[in-house]
Parts: sequence; structure tokens; C-alpha cells
Amino acid sequence: MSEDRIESTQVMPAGDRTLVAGDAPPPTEGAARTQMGATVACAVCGTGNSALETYCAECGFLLASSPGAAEPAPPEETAAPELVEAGSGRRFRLRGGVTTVGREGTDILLLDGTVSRRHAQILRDNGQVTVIDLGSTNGTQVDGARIQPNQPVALAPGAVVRFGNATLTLALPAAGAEATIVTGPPSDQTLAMPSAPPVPPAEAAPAPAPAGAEAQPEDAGGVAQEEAPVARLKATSGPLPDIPIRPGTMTIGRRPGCTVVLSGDPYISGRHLQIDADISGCHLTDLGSTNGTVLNGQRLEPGQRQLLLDGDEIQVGQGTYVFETLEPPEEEEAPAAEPDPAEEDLV
Amino acid sequence: MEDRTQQMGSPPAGADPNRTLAVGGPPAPGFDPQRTAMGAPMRALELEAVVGSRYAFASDVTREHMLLRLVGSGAMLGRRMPLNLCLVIDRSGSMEGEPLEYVKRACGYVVDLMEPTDVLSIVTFEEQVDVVMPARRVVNKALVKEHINRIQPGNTTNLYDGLAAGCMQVGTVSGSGYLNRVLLLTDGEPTAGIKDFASIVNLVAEQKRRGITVTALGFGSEYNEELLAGIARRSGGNYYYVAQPALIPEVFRRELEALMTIIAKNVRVRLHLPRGVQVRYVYGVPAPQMGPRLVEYSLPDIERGAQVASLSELELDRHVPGTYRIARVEVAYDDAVSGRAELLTADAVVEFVADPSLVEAGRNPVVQRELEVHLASRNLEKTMMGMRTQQLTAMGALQELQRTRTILLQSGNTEQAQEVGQAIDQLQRGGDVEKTLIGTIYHLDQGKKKA
Repeated sequence: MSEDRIESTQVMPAGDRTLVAGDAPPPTEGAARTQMGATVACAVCGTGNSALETYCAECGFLLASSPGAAEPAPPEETAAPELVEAGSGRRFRLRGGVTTVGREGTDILLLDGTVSRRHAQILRDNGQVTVIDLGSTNGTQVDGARIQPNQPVALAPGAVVRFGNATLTLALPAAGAEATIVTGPPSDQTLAMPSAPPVPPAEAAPAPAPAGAEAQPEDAGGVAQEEAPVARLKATSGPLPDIPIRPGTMTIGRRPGCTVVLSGDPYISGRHLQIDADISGCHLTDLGSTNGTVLNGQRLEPGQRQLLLDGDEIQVGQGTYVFETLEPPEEEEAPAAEPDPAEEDLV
Repeated sequence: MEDRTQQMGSPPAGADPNRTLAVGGPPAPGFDPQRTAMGAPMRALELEAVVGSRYAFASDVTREHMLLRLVGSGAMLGRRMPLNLCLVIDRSGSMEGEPLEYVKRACGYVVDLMEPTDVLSIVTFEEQVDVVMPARRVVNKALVKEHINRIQPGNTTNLYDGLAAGCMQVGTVSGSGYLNRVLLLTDGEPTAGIKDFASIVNLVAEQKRRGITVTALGFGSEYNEELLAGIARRSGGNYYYVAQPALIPEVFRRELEALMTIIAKNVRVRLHLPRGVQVRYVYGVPAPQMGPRLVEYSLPDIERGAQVASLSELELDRHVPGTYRIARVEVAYDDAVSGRAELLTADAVVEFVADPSLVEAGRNPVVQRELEVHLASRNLEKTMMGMRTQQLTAMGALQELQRTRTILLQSGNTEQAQEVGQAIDQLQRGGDVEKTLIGTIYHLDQGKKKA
């Protein structure tokens, strides 16, 4: 039941935790009640919420309830490009096929008097995005140049499109956008592991992962797709296979939308952890998961980046992995974990 | 303001200004010992958030409507907020004779209705602007009326400068303890000064940010109804169409009565959106501020016994099935009686399910009706446009108007249904209905009706 799930994160050794004014006193040994000031992880998005909240602050889910079984999103949707509106920051996802743009009754509604009622159409054909002006009053501009009506114009990633006075930028999804679904028996909620080690005595930091639409993969900032992995998490136990680590940011969890979706293990949270791989190394961050991520026997603090070294043992849900760097191909991209780790990254 | 019992400092410890206090508790702010209090003091406004259906389809991107209902309480406990009113009167050549006489009479009525705590100013415009009475308390009513009686007709119509001067008069009274209103009366098109729609509406928008609302009164058949309705709409004020000069005083009185029964002013809505929810459109609101996770907009002042419906269209992403709050609603307003800032909150909750047929089963007809009212309003606009461009025959227009009137009757918008009925009569007699209809459209968009 949901009470079990909440309880697993709340048992703390008394006296180690820094009290914040207004907190209830720490529980005595063996107490299982949820205490004020502690966080509740959302079963859908993994975000930590104050125990006083009824609904998740990030996704709105009713925290005291259990989510149903989700249908995986079609791959075209998880990797969908978006038009981002300047100023408001609103994001409009471009689904496959035609998306209409205008002031009235269109898929993308731009509430600006200079936008015609039916201003333009965007056509998305897999990765290719084109825009067609439908003979609008104030015209459509692509990267500053006004385009001819009724003539399709291709949009490159980062292209700035103006419909009248409304300015939008085309953002493509990031590297490794295909959700690697590792199959296993389906499960819904994250179950509490009875033997989960206690959370380290400190405030749970908020997850550093960027907020985005639910099914959006993380933004790794323009890294090319299909790069060779620089490292991997080699599975040493549990039902799941190895996880390759490519340059950029990847999320691992049970929910579709993570870079790597592990759907067989109910003890893995929806968004469980994140790995950043760049020239400074591979860093792992727990995203506030229910049962935590254990590195070399120590449960990691949520939100705290941890450098990974060859031979590190990582426990995620029921699986254990060993971190291993891989032989780099001839690219300049330095592999993770040189023999001397970056000192400043160690906590 | 000297008459009102001021609430000193913060509310009593533990008292939540939004909750009803138990009988026998401390007196409510604005409590007037001269009046018998009716049991426990009530909140000025109640807020309710309703989604079009209890259910949403989890496995696809869907759209749904959300309705916010703000109901003003029927009673006003305590004295009303003092007014800071400016009458901005067109005295161009066309106003000469009966129109100006009735305007003077109407101004006289306003003076009579004002109380010692209210502030009044009077500005007239033709080509030039005259400040007949600068903003001050109405102490010597006879003297003010004398000044009013000396108003003479002039020449052209410099509406922009008149409006700017009126707003400036109202602006000289500082502090938030007043209900600021500019009452603009004109019978024509702007023919002098700044004449374009955009500049005038911009002026009004700027004043609104300073807390000054403009009500527009169009008199006769020659005025620019698009401009006046545009002013009212941008400002959140009222729009009146006065066909005959003899009706001018009555309309002034109506506006004043509405002002004197306002219980909530400066009403602002904030929709806090979770991930996976976007607001596509907010009905009836000229310029909502849209951000990725927050939408903000203003609603008109709310009178005692009135209710405001605010409808928006949301786009919902795919969700893992379960119950979600799709919007956290906050409505901030100033209580016009106590002068205190208040905050109401409500949650719009939906259950995302795998079975799409549940969505229809869980429909809330109230939201549907409200949507129909807005669609009726859009329809009226199209009918008007059709008549103007002559793409719609008189017969076709009549049919549309009949249809719209039926919808409005069914949804309880009796006032607007009556207006459409009047327009139908006018049309059948070969009259011009645009000035009435544009007002009807605006009133429907405002979403206000008697509770």
C-alpha cells in the first residue's frame, strides 16, 4: 500500500538530522510515522514533495494514491521537436503530420493580433520540419527572411520563425532521444524495498534535472545522435542487461521518457537517476528516488552529483551494476575516469 | 473614510481572513455598529474550479475546458468603498441642444448621489479640454451643479485628450482605498487630437495598470461602437449604448449604483500549471499573461450579488493514469468594504483513465453551457460582421439572432437574451443593431451575470 512506500524513506537515525525551525522532533528508533518536513516522492515523476502537499508540485499527481499502468508513448512523440515561444517560454510539441498555427482554432494558438486566424502550417515528417505560410496578413519569417506564401521552407534546429509579431524557435530533441526500453514484466508503482538503507541524515536537495514536458527526454545540449558509448553499467545481478553510457546526459527510470527505461523492476522509480558523461568524467545523480541509489554500499543523497570510477558498484532497485569505462574510439571526446579523478568533484 | 471603523494591525491570532468566523467572534472588518449584522460575517467572494469532465483520456494529448466561478455574496456588511469618479463629457457641436441638457441633468444626479467621502471631478472636451471641476470631495453640491450648468457646446471631438485629462484627475487621488472610475460619454467619432484605435486603447491599458477603470457610454447613432467597446473591454469597465438623450441620466444612475455595490475590485487570476498541462486560450480576456507554467489575467470588478464565470481551454499531455490536479487556481482581490487584500484558492482535479468513453460519461453540463455562451458570443460577432459586409441577408441575420437568443435563455443569461430580443425587434423595423449587439457581445465575454 502507499503507506509502505512513504515509510521507507522516513526512518532516520535520531539526532543526526539538522532540524529546521518548525520541524517536528525526530522520531525515536523504530518509529514509522511520516514526519513533518520530510519529503514524499511522487510515484509518477519522482519529484520530492513536502509531506504536507496533497498533489505533486511538479506533475500534479495525487500523492496519496497509486498510479495506473501507463501505455508507452509512441517513439515519434518522445522524440518530438518543439517550437518554443520567445518571451513566454511556452513550448508547443510538433507531432507527426500537419500542425496548424494561427490565432483561432488552430493546433498552436498564438494570441497576438498580428497573427492571422489561419496563419501557417508546420509539417513534420520524422526528423524533417517545414513551414508553409498560408497567405497570412503580416507574413512569416524564417531567420529574419520573409518567406513566400504557400511555399514550404525547411526549418533547421535553432531556426527562428516569426508569425507576425510572435517569435518561436525550433528545438529538436537531444542526443540519445530514443527511449531504450529494456523489457521485463510490466509493473506500475514503485514498491518499497524492505531492506532499503536509511536516507543519509541531511535535507533532500531538489532534483537538478531540468523540468520539461512529461515525455521529453533530457536536453543534453546539441550532442550528435548515435555516438559510441564511453562507459557502461555492467549488470552483475538482477534481471536487466548492461546499460551503455554515451556522452551527454541520460536519465534512467521506469517511466517512458527516460533515456533508458527499465520497466521490469518495480523498485525502480519513474525517474530514478541521471548520469552526465563529459570530459570531466561520468557523474551520477539520484533524482529523489523512492528506494535510492546505492554506490559502494552508501545510499546517495538525492540531487548530489557523484563521480563514478571504474569498479564502482551501483545498486538500483533489484539490480546491481559495476561501472566500467570503455575503450574510446579515435574521437577527441575524452573517456570518463582517467586514473586520477577530479578532486573537486568528490563530496 | 473617517466614518468607517478601521481594522488595526493584523487579524486576531489564528483567524484566517478567508474563513467564516464563528458567531460571537471579533467583529468583521468594516463592521458598522449602526447596522444589524446578519449572523456570522461572510466572505465577499467564493471561488469554485470545475473541469469539463471528471475524466480525461490518459493515452493521448487531449483538450478540455476549465471553468472558474466567482460568486459575490448577496450582502454587503459595512460601508462601501468611497468613489473617486471623473465624468468625461463630450461637448462637441453635435451634442448641442437636448443631448447636452440631459447630460447636465445626469451629472446633477451623480452629484446628488455622492457622499461626503466620495471624490468627484468633471472634465469636458471638444477640441480643447476643460476641467470643470478638479478632483475633490463634494461638499457644496449646489456650487458644483452651477459649474455643470455652464457647460456649452463646442466644436470637434478630441476624445484622447479628454480621456487623458479625466484619468489624470482620478490619478491625483493617491492610495488604494478608493474605487477609481472614469465615466466617458461621447456621441461621435474622435475628430481631433489622437484618433486611432490602438493609441486610445493603449492609453486605457496603461491606466488600468494604475488601477483606473474606464466605463464608456455611447450616445446616439453616430459614435464609434468598436472604439467604445474596445475601451471598455481593455479597461474591464462597462459599456452602455444610449439611444435617446432622455435615457442618459438613467444610465449614469445605473453605473453609479453598480459602482456603489462593488464588493471586490482588482480581481486577478493566477493559474499555476503542472508539467503536461498548457492553457491554449482564455475566453473573454483581452491580454492574458502566458508563461510556460503560469497564466495570469484580470477580471472585472464584482458587484454584490453578481457572479463571474471565467472559462479557459487547456491542452493535456499524455499522463500515467491516476488522479491529478491540473491547475492550482489563485484569485487575489481587494475587498471593497474592508480594503484588505484577500486570496482565494481552488484546485482543478481530473482523473486520467485508460478508457476514453469515461470522458463523456463524466461530463459536467455547467461547463458545457458556459462554453455555449462564449460560442454564442462569437456567433453574434460573425452575424454582425456578416451584416456589415452584407454577406448575410436580414433574414439570415434574424435567424442567427433567434438561435443565439434561445441559447442565452437556456443558460440563464436573461439580460443578454433580452438585449438580443431588442436587437431582433430593431432589425425587423429596419434599424441598426450594431451598437446594441456589440454591448451584448462584450457582456457575454465578461462572463458576468446576477447570481
